[in-house]
Amino acid sequence: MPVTSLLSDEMLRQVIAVGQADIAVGIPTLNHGGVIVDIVDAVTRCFRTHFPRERAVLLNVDGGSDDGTPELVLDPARDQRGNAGGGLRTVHRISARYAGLVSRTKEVQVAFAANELINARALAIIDPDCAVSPDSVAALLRPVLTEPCDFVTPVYARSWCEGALVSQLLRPVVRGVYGRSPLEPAAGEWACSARFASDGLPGELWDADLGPAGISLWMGTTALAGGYEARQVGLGLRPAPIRAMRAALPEVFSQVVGALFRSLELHAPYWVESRPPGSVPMIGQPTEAADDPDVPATEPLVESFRAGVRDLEPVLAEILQAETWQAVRALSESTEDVPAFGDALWSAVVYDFAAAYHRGAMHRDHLTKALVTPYLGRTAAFLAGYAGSPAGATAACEALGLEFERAKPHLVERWNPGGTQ
Amino acid sequence: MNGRTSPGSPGDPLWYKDAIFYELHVKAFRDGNGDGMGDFKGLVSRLDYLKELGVDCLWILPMYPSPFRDDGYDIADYYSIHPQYGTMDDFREFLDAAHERGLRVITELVVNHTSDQHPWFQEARQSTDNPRRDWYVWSDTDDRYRGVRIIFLDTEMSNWSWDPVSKAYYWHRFFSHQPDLNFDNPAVREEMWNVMRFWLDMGVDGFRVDAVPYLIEREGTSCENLPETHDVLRFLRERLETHYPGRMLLAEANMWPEDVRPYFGEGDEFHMAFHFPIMPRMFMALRLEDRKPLVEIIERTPEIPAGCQWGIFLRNHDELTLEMVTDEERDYMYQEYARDRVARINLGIRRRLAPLLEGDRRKIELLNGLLLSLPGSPFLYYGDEIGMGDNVYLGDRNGVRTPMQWNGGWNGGFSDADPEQIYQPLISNPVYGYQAVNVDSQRRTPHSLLHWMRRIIQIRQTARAFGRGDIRFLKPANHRILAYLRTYEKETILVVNNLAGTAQAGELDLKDLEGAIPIEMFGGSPFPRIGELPYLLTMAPYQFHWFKLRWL
Repeated sequence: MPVTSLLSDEMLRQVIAVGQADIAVGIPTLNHGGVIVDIVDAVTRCFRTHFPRERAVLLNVDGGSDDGTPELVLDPARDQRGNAGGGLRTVHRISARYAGLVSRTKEVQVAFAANELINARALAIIDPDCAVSPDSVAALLRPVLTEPCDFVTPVYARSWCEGALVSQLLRPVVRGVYGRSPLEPAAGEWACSARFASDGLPGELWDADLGPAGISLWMGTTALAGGYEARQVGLGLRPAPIRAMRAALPEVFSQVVGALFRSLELHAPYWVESRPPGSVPMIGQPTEAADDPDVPATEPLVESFRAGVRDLEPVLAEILQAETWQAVRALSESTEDVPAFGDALWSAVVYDFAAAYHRGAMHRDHLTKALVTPYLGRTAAFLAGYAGSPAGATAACEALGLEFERAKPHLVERWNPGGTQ
Repeated sequence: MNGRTSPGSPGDPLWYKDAIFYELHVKAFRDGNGDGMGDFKGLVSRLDYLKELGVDCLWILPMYPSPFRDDGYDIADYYSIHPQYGTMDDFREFLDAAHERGLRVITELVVNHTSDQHPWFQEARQSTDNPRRDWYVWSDTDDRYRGVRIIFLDTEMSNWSWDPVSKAYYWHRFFSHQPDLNFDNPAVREEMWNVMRFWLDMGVDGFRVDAVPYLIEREGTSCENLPETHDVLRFLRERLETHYPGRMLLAEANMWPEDVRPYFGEGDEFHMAFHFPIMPRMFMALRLEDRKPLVEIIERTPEIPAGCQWGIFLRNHDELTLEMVTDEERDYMYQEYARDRVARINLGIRRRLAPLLEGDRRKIELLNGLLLSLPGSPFLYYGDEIGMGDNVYLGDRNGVRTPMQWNGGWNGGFSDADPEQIYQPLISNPVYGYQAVNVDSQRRTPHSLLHWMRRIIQIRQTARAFGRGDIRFLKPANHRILAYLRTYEKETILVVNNLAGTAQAGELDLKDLEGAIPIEMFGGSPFPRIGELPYLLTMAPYQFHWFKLRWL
């Protein structure tokens, strides 16, 4: 019976040459030739300046670039550039492609598999579409090296109206269900311990293409549910993407919310138990963002919400409990400029979607995309509510998290209506 | 004696390129008269041991009369032997006995300065019109040569010291009791040549010249490495070459290789110079398990004239100097090799080889393997061939200058004197003490370090490529593997070292040597013929192989 290997022969050859290491940085790529040089240099400088004594490996897992990305990673000229800051050790660089369909999930899986042989105590995964600095990579790795810590997520300084998917959906769900959540549960970059990577290698979701945010979400919730020590570390302002990503919102929901709901399924034995709320320890202080942002216009969101409710009526009626559906429909029909989509209704909507996803009420991809409609209504309400007084937005997000915690029994009940798992 | 060809490599003026040197203190090697201090009579009685070891040339640390305020580097008479070491006849007897055994001898030549007890200085300070006055560097003020670095920062506040006798300042780059000679004075140059001639006539095979960068001073400069210094050196070399061909000058200049390079001149200054930066990088590469530090320093080492040679070493009579490393590297070395601060002195570590390597025989062998296979002529330090320990509590660097441990008996076989009379105590702890670590016990143990050292020296001497060959690094993907080719004329040696404490695999790109059969030099075993594909070697922890490549 043929055995499919995660590590290609080429990857294995390079891994053998590197041997054991102390730290590794995994960089999944696919045609990132335009940006990879800067990333490699930043990671190399990170190794040189922050971890001069550690055995360090840059691990590029490539999906089959045809723009020379692996060659740029391995370019000997990079040595000269990286060596400019001195450094005691050789900085090892591995670059090889993997077999099978291209997916970010597979790339992380291959990085985990390589680390199984390299045995680096700390492994960071970097999103090549976002700029990184030597300091930010080091900040992710260091807690794993120096503390009893298995998983580290970044905290970015965001304005109150930035990242609504995180503040209005991902973070409150994770907090409500798991009892605690990092501020950025779906960042594209994170770090983990060798133990975490090793334990995660047989994970169930490797065949799905979760995208960078979805993988991060899956890993983060796995850390919370698995009893691993998690930390979050402030990295300042989130760097602008160096390669623009214009995925449509439904596609984002398909990956990210899909990852979230699948994680809930996987971790149900953990979270259906009642657990006291807690927090993910923060290392350092998060930087405050300049609070003078351009607040997105709410009118298009409201229009999309109203149109979506009309168009998706049968779908939403199938997913949501009757009273929830009635409330949503009533909101969409209200004459207010921005309907007041409150916390309680929003948590009921999201939990209904999660339960329906679990029940297999309909095609899962359709289901996750359908959540976009109420999300737009909720986001419009949030933006409109604090556009004039952003100081209250942080407290509102906190209140939303508490509401999701309070409403968790509703999810448990809907998740498991028969009383058994 | 002119033109004498010493035994060992008869008639070969480049003998030093193949030689293995052995550095020793007369005071520490063997006491022949029972006064507690080593001497030349004692040394003569141990020459057979050195011959058995297989070394080619002895480097004798200062043996001149001296107040010993700097372990003999403060010379009070260049034309004599310190009475505690014996007489001039004893020295001649030693020299002849060494030559009879095929051993060459080089001695110390401290040219930059004398002791303040030297009669030259005592005369010079008597008056400003004394004929010797201008043999030293004087000034009415201490303002001259401002900004010149002070070398011994721990002890000296200035490069000038006040002489209350002549009421003037004298210049000294080292200790204040070591006034610098004035090499702008032709009489000083002539006198230094007379000193050299005196010992060359007696038969010494060369000199290790101390502190060469500092011979000349010029206002507005660092007073180091000045062109006029090279004039002095060319003067001495020309005289040597004319009157004593086949003798050798070895420079001590603790600098980066590119800065030492001028001291070879166009082959008309020094024959040899120590390559200081290689030494700490051997230790660094071993602890890092990474070939990077060694490859980098060797690749940045400039070419030297054909008749010249580097001298390399693992340890010597000084501290393991960390001057030629970056701050980051120094911190690393301190943390890894001298966590106990008492082991640190100046910018270095006052430990011997075996304690530095935690007594790990595999590491000791690997580092000696590197020493004997990298470019340059290796210098062994007495006692390291049996893994002697040290005593960091003896002050200064005396802890690495303890008596040689010959056997497990009275004073370790070093001296018949009362133990209290020995110039400094022997190492006596249960791990490295003379009862546990000594020549006699290792002679009786076939697999002792001593026997191993004899064997590797013997093997090195079967291949001239080690001393004279080029080096080409192979750089396999595994950075724990340090592999290189040493090639001289038709001889090619492949050296493969595993710097790691774990087993490693290395794939060597040897395509251009396709068809060659590697013959392992220690056992003579043939290995598979080299082909087009990468040559795979699996290496045990800290293992190394030397292969002679044969096309058969």
